[in-house]
Amino acid sequence: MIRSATKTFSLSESGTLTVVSFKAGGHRFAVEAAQVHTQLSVETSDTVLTAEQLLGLPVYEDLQNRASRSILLMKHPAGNYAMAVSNPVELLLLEINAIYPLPALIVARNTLAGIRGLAIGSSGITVLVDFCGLHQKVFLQELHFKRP
Amino acid sequence: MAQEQSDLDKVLSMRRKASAEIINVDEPIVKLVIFELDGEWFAFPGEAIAEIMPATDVYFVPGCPPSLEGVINVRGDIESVIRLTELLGKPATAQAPTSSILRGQGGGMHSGIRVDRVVDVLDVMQSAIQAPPATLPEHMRRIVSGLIRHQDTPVVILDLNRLFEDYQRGLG
Repeated sequence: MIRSATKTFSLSESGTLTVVSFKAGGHRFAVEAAQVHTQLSVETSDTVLTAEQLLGLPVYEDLQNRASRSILLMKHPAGNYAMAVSNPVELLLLEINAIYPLPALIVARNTLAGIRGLAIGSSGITVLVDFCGLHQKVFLQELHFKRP
Repeated sequence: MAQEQSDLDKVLSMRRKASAEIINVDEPIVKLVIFELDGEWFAFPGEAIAEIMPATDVYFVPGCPPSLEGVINVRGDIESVIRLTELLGKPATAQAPTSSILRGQGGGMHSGIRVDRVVDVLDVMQSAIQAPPATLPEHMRRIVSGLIRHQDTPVVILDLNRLFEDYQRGLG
C-alpha cells in the first residue's frame, strides 16, 4: 500500500492496481480495493444506496432481479455505507499500463459522478470510479435518505 | 556594332520572363483533408489532422452524450471519438461501411472524429478559398472558416479549434 496525504492506493510493486469490479446499469465499473471494506452476503434492500444512484446512471432493469445483485460495504470519509451493485463482483489486478486517464473531451462531457479513468483489456472496458472523491455534503444527504 | 537578337534569343528571353512571373505569383498553399458526411463534403486543414485511421473498435463509455461515441486504443494510448453529425445539426445516421476516424488536434485538445468517407487530401491555393457565405445557419457560422469547390462539389472547411472548444462547452 502507498499512502498519500489524501488517498490510499492499492498499488503493488508488480505494476498492478488491485480493484473490486462490479456491474452497474449494464456497464462494468471498478473501485480501488482499498475503498471496499467487505462484500456483504445479505439480500439487497430498497433502503440500500445503489451504484446506479451514486453514479447518476438511469435505473437498469437488473435492479428488479435481486438475485443478481450484491452489496458492498464501502469506506468513505463521511462513514461506511452499503452499496448495491450487479454481479459479477470480482477482485482484480489491473495492469498499470492498461489504465488510462480520461481524454479531455470525456472529462468535459461525461456526466457520471466519480469517474476517474478507464481500463481496457481483453474483456473490454472498465470504468474506474472513486466514490471517496464525491463531495461529502452531497454524499451525506444521499446516505441520510438511504441508510436503513 | 550591337549584334541583332535572333528569334531563338527572343523566345528564350520571353520564356525566362514567364518563369520569373510564375515565381513572383507563388502564394501560400493550404493542405486540406476532405471528407464526406451524410452526403455532403467537408474539410479540415491538414495541419489539424494527425492521422487518418481505418474503422477500429470503439469502446462505449457510459455517461457520455450520443455524439461522443467512445474511446479507441491508438498504439497504447486512448483517444475519444466524436461524431460530427450532431454538431453540424444533421440527423444521426448508421455508420457507413467506408467510415474512417480522423485524429484531430485543436483548441489544446485532441480526439478522433468519425467521418463517412475520406474523399481526398490535397493542396489548394489560399486564394481559392472563399469566405463563408452570410447565409450559413447560425450553428455553423462559428465553426466554418471557408468554402472551396473540388470535383465540382462544394466543400465546407471547418475550424477544428473552434469545433473542439464548442464541443467541450456542450455543443452537440
